[in-house]
Amino acid sequence: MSKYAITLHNRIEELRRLEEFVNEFVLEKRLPDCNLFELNLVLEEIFTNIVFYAFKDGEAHDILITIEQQDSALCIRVEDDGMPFDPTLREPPPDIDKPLEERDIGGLGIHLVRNLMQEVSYRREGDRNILTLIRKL
Amino acid sequence: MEITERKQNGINIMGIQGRLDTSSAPELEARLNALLDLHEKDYILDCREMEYISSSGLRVFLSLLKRTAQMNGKLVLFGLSQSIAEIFTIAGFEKYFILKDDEAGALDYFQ
Repeated sequence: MSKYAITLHNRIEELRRLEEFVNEFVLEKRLPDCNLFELNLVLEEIFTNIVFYAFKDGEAHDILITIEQQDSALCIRVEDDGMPFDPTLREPPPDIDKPLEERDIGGLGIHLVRNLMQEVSYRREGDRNILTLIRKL
Repeated sequence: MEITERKQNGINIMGIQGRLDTSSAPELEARLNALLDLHEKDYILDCREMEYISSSGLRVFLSLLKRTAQMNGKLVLFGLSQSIAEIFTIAGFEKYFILKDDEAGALDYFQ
């Protein structure tokens, strides 16, 4: 099987299941360890962003994550039915050259994602947000 | 995540074990805030057994650094894994934080 998928609820407690899912994928694909850390990080940032910002109705929602290995790249797709929400636009890149006193505490999540993945793209399809990430192996 | 704590020469030496992620970061932040509120200003964080960090954990570190700086205190980290050191670099943190290889090096910084 080349495609791995998991459906998570929009609750932070689901991070544990996300971690298990990534661990299993990296193990089965026999990917080097650095992928484990970085995939965990990227998916945590994307998932928590969605949980914190995509839903305002207080209802339970599903977040669908698939990872597929295509030749020498990993293609990750994250899908939710929250309000239109482009995480690539939400946070301006933090100014990492600022002196400490002026450095903002936030804005790091998407900055890390952009730096760890070769491609990050967002589109809205009907009532769904679809984020696609590509990481070269 | 597990946190261990001890005090030596007035310095709070805290070990962080396991994953510092969105689920566990609030626990570390609460513990640090409790110490900061008691005007504890010097810290060494033992990161040898820290396996993972995400932006939530980085935020706790940055916020601790800012507060210790305001109190003219010091914060030194040691034992970062290579993966975590790379995340520090991407975040632009390596120029804010004092990073040492081991505890002796971290303690020396307070001399």
